[in-house]
Amino acid sequence: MKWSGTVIGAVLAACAVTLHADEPYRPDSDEAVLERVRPASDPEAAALRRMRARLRERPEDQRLAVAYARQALELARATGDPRYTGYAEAALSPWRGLAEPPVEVRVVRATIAQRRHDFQRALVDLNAVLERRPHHAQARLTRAAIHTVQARYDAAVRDCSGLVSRTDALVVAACIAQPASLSGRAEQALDSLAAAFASRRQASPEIRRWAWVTRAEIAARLGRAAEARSAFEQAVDTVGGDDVYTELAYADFLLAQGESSRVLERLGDRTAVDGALLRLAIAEKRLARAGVEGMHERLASHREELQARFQAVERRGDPGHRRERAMFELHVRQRPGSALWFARANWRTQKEPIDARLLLEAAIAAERPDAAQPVLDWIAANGVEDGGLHALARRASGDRADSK
Amino acid sequence: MRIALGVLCLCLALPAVAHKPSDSYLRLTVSGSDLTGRWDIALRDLHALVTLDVDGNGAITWGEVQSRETEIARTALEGLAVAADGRSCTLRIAALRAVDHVDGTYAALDLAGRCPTAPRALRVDYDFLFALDPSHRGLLNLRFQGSRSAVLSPSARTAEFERGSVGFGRLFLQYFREGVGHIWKGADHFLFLVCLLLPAVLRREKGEWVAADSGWKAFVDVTKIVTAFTLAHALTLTAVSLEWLRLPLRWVEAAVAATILLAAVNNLRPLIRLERLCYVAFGFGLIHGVGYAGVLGGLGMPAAMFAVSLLGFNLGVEGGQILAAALLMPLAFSVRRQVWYRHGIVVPGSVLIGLMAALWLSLRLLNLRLEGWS
Repeated sequence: MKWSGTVIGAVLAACAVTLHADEPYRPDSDEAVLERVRPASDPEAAALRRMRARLRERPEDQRLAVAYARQALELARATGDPRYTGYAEAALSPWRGLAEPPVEVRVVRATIAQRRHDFQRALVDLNAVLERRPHHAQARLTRAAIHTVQARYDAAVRDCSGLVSRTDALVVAACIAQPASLSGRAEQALDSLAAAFASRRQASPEIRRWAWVTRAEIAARLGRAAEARSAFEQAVDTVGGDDVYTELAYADFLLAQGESSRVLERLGDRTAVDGALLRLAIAEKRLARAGVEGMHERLASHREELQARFQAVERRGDPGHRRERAMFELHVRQRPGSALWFARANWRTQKEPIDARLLLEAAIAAERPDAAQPVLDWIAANGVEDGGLHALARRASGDRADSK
Repeated sequence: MRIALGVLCLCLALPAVAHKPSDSYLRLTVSGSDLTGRWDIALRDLHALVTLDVDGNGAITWGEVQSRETEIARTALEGLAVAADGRSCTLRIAALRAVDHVDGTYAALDLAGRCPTAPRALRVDYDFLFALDPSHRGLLNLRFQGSRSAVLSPSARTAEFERGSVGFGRLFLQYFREGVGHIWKGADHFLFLVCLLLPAVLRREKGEWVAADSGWKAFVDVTKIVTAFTLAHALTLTAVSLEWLRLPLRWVEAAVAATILLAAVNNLRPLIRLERLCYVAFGFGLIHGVGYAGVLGGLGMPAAMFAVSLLGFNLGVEGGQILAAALLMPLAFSVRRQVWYRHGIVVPGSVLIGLMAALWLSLRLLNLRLEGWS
């Protein structure tokens, strides 16, 4: 009588097991390369190893631990490999149980938490640091970033303003621009950013690149595609090698503009990075739908790959990656129900425009316009200026009114 | 440096970048007092512990891995201990091969061991790599009279298993209760059931309701109807939860209202012959099942968990229905001969339900919603 549910369940369970039964093998030749790592000559990796060795002898040396953690975090950012974030965390373990760890330890700890999207924990440390050292620039910047992600724009602007004359003027401008642009001051944000650019031509490449991306994103929200495009181009051309986060932000813009082939060009060989593979798959899906040759096969293999990666993350029990998972379910697998589940869970921790768009699109696609209400409230409460979001919001409220 | 780091922090539109953090996959099987298994450890992780890239050229070759086999085995076994009923089991690495996972190549270490006794309680102590990388997780899959799994982490370095304990019990119960609740809280389905069940203790004679004579026959009829309905909505419920079937919610809800209307009207004027009623119930069940879309929250769970939840929910819904039937039927049966049952409950009840269904139908067709009435 209840066989249907049982059969399906058994099949699913069997799939869950077989999916992970990769077969071990003995390579044919001793020369076969199994894995690539940073060579011994690589200065950053070598520095890390040296520091780790010294830290092993003196684990309680705070300056050494913080330096090692910072180096590890830099490698984490550059490679996108979260193992390095784990290494940084390990360095701080002598202070783990303490109620009041040293300030620098707390700041690094907060950075690690923020990387993992554990914003509440990060704030605990940052608030404590800033209460004792209100002018700690990095703590302020980090806290401003968290406030922005969680849509506390006034608090973010306050924190950024506290940086004036303590750090680079371009940093301050970019710091303020993001939250200001999401609380009804987008034009002013762009203007002050442009002014800061003009006056700070010597700022470091990382800062300039990040400021360009900020400018590009705000311009895109205001519907100024040409300005956004040129700002993104400036960002990717900035000296200092390519930066994966910039590429992904640019890819999101290109996808919104319907330029899927350009996304393919830019991200085609970056499949190691989950976020890049995801955007690539979305672009391939669109091109396949438009009838471009050969896209279906590429899409199919990338979709399987992404599925496997997401499942591997799930097995760990990590709650992260909800935004990417929602994008995957919505745009690649076309499962609005699942997408909506992830989009809603994602919205609980982060409220950036990309998250808002995701929740709106998922709610509309899943025919649950009521689920879009939190985003509608966020737009109204903050005066968010974003043409694309407004259009989606109108659709969502329209759908809702229809069913009233 | 500080500013740079601050800037980096601000790149907060952080998409999930490369790889996931470090995991190892530990498979163990207990048969009698023997242990077998396989432990997959990422070469990148082993390299951080015992330097696999011997010549330092950035490429870890098969030859290099083999040359470090002893160190690999020693480091791995230092981080793993198994005990049966409190006494240590021996464990050794029987063979070393390579295996591919989503985020790179791993060393596949074949495990072999023996416990002093065939365990009733098994304990796995895991302490591998945490000192270097606290974000490492040991993903354990244990076959010990059934399949169990655990995620081992710095805050959960031990996993204990009793022979014969169930893994997914709590999840199943949770969704079972959800299922029962859906019948009782979902006015649609409940009313539909009521419509079907009320007249089940009666039968038609010359167009009039007359008390059924045989309790057994009534019981059999009820069972057939409920079974058909149940089977059908289990099918569509599963299909919708797996997103194999997607229908616009508005039309589905309108259809559900229509089924209730039909059932109510049938109680007043015979439209459906009693023998056909189970087929109709089946058809209506298909429709009702689609209405449960979205309850299980899509595939937000790992496959095995989802299967258990789906099963639990299905059984819960059926349980709720059976409960409803079990409550109503004996009562109805005992009063079936009373005139006030036929004319005071079945008929007016069906009229009332029919009116509500008609209201729902029009609202849903016209895409309107009245607060509290939909």
